[in-house]
Amino acid sequence: MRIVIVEDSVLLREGIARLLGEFGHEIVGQLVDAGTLVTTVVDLRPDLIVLDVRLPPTFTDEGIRAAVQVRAAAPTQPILVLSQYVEERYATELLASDSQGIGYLLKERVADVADFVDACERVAAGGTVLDPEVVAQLLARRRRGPFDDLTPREREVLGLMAEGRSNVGIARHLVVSDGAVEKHISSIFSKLGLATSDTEHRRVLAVLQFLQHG
Amino acid sequence: MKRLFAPLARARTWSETLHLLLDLPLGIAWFTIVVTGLSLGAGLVVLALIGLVVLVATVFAGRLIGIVERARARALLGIEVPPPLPAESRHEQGNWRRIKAMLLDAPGWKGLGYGVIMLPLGIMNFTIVVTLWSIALAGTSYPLWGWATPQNNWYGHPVHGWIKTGWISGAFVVGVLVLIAVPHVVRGLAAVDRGLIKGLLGGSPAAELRQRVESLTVSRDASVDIAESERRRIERDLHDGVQAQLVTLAMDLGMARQKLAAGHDADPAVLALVERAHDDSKRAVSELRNLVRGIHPAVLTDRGLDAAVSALAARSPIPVEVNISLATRPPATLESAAYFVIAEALTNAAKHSGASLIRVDARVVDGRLRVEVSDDGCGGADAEHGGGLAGLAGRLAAVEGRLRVASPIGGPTAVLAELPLPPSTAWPPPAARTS
Repeated sequence: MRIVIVEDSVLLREGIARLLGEFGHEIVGQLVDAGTLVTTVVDLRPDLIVLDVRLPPTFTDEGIRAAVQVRAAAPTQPILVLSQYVEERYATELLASDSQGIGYLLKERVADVADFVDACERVAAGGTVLDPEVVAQLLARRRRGPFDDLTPREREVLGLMAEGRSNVGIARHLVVSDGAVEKHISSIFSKLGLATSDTEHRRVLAVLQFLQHG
Repeated sequence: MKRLFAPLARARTWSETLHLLLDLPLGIAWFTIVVTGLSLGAGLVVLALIGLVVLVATVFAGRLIGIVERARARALLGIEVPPPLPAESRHEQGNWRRIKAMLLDAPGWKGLGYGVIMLPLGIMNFTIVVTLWSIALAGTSYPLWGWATPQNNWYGHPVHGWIKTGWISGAFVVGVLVLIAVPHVVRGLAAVDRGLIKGLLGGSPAAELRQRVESLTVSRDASVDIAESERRRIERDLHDGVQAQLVTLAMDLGMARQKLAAGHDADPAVLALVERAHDDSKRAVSELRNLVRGIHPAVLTDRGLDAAVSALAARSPIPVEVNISLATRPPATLESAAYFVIAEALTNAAKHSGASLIRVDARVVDGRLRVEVSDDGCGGADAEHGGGLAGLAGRLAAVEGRLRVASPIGGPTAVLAELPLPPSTAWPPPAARTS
């Protein structure tokens, strides 16, 4: 994969570059702020942007705004956003138009090297990856509506879906069988009123509904 | 006998006398300054600038009169008169406001008033003192020189012989009586001077208190703001410095672990060590994150109370309903005080209440930010004796907020904090302060 990294801390930027390089990815660009990100993306067409939220000059949410700009210029550009802290609004702003190829992780997740590289690859492939803490925050806040009917286990499964995990991944995480997970998922689909069509599409719909209205 | 004349021997009597005698020349000087300055200033007002300069200088001269007179009173009357507070004009913004403050300077005007009163008073004091001392000195010394007066004459009748002796004795008695009386008269007149100096040229305790309260309020607000920005700075430094280093370290350890695990010839003991180091470093990162959040949550600075409280709610083991409706963002210190009230109340509720639902409510009522955290738990929370809630009361007091806790045994509990918002000028809309 050809990756652009935007991170103002030299240490972290080089660390992430080293890590991704170690796993056979090519770092085609390293930026310290998001000022030239859009032109860089247009020039280089990277497979993935790894982007810090807090960047110069104001160190607040430059990264999120840059991500939205990039997606406006290149709607399918996969972006993985790294944040110091979890802020569900960042996630919802990122996912406002299209959740494909968007990731939002706590910065410290890079320490789980294999998981982090895996998340990068999933986002680059058009998947959606959300930090478990974002999901927890969304779950804690969204209490009304169709999600009230979900059992705690189903909420958990939906949260794991939002993190971008596959059925197998969910089953392994919950230490249950694949069949049990499928049963939960079809129950979620029916409770949310999602008709039986393309399963992948319904997954995205369920997660989106969960993120936007839940 | 000794007692009658004792006051004459006191230094104070003489210094007071000197003071009263000086009243006249100083009175003339002050009167001249005041009348000249004011009439010149008022007359020249048509030439705006010059007239104003003269008036301001005259009012300032009122303060100088005070300085001279307080020094004179200290030296000759033995009283320490506290000076009035420094002019408030230096706190004013803008030239016109400063000039206006200088023109309305109360201590200056009181000094001018004193200067005007001093002329008639000085004439009176000077006359009385000189006359009395003359009579006293002349009368008491009359026996020494009275005989030498060539022609004594009383309404046309010659005075001589025993009449002259009687005359001399009478003058002597009058002289002695006046001599005895002089110190008391001097003391009485000096008391009037003292009163005038204290009343017109001294600082007023009420004004001093008011100004002190004002300056304390300003310095308190400044220290609260400094503490707040310090917390933000520490948070930023920890994030950008230590956290970045720790995350990089954890990442490197993660890569080492990965490589060791992938290779087949790794020493299992080394692998175990690296694994432990990796886990420890990750734990350190997450503990650092919690610590930083306790100092100052970055999300509060970046996104405001609603976002920060939502994050708190997500971590609460008890479901939390958040209802924060603020049209604009309050100042950072108030926002942070409100945040920590909510954080502490949520922690408390999670630990002790056994509640099944917590409600967080924040809105602006009558110019106050009103924050309420209520739960349906067992009650018994205590804001009086130590603990987190008592600490909150202190934190709120620093921003003139108040904390009320209603928590009867058996529940429910309601923690209510009210924080006065500054006038709207000090409360910019969020767009103005996002950075």
